[in-house]
Amino acid sequence: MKFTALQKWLKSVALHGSAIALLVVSAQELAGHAQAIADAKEVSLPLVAELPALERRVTTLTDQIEMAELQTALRQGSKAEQVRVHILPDDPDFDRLIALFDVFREVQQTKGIIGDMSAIDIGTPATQEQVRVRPLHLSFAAHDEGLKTFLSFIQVAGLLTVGDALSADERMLLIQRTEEENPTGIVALEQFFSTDLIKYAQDHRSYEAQVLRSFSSPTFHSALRSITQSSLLKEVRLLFDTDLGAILEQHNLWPFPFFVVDTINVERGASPKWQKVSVQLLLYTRV
Amino acid sequence: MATSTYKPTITPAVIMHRTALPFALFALVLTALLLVSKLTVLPALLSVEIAGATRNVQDLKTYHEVLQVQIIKKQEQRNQLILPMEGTDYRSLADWKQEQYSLQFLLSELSRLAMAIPAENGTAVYMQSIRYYPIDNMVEIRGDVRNVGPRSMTALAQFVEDLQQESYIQEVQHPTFTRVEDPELGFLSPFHLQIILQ
Repeated sequence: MKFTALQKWLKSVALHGSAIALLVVSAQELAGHAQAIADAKEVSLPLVAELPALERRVTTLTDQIEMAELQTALRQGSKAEQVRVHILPDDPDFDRLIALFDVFREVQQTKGIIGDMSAIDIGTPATQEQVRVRPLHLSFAAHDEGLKTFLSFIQVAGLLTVGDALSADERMLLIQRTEEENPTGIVALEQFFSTDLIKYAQDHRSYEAQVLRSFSSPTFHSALRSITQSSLLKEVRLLFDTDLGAILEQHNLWPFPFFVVDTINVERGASPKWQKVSVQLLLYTRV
Repeated sequence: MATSTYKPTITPAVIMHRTALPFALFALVLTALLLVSKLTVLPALLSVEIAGATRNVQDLKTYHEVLQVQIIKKQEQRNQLILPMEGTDYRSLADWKQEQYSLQFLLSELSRLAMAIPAENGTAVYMQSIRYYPIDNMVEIRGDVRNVGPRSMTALAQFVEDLQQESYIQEVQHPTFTRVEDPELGFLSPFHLQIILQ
């Protein structure tokens, strides 16, 4: 009799124990359900709202890549060749460099905005990472206008296309506007970016009109107008839409080799609006 | 006639014994239902069909990340195609050159600030020379403050303060504030400023 009572007691303890264990599992499952529902509310809904836009962006980019691939294959090759031969050559072409400064000086002296220019002193090259840098020194007297023209001339040296004369932010702004307004306009934009700077300067209205034809909204028009008026492109037009541009093309002096200003000293001259300019440039070539 | 009623003794052990089986069955059924819900009902309720595929929360997160990575890669690929020479040494050099402040910009900004200092006649801040080191982001100006009478040091301090307020200037190394008297120009405060650009 006592043995049966003990069996019953043990059985009920075992059943209660199992029930409690199952309830613990149930509690965990309930918490999991609550978490899943909370996740759905906090994570899934925003993601679901965002995903179609991302998918559209991927499709747009894929289409743009396909269109751009068709256009660029030939163009890139010729640009790379111009960079290799004229802009960053293996060996500097000093005759071409001197001729370039001579033409610049002659044209500006004819206008009366640059005085006598010293000979160009060419220093010893130094190797920096993957380029060789050679200092060039020259000095001259310049009117305010002459100095402005000289600085634009230096700024443009080594640039080849419209895309090169725009900053990374300016390029990205136009690309973003294209994506938003007319993704197929990427072809026209690519052609605009690849336009040779000197050709752009000499006929900028028609190159700008060509790219604008692909966009009907005023947003892109105003973005392009603002960039062409505020970027280096404005200086490029002032510099090359003149006799200088024509003479440089005639003498096959375009594009310029890549050089930057190392130091420039501008000192007041004896006459008003005239300065004594002394500049050290760094000419880049490949190693 | 005496009647006797049977009153069972209800002890905790009896209660425990009698509730054991229903309690265990309840817990078993609840757990089973929750497991069934987790495996079938919950996924069916919380999954979303996107791009022809049904995805749960985790799948959505993964898909979102995949799309973002794809966008970045495709943008780079497109930029490489539409921007000439993108990703080359030439592009790095051209962009580096573009990032430098042009001397034209600096000259016009320095003139604007110099003209803002009032003078009794002519210009107060006379800049004799400007030397610019674009690679080191540094400008040196030499000159003097004149045409303001004995206030020349105050006017120079004002010019330095105005320079320091400009967003493109990181630091102006202070000049020595001195005043000299020139027989022709009157009181002068010569300066040599070193400006570090942003």
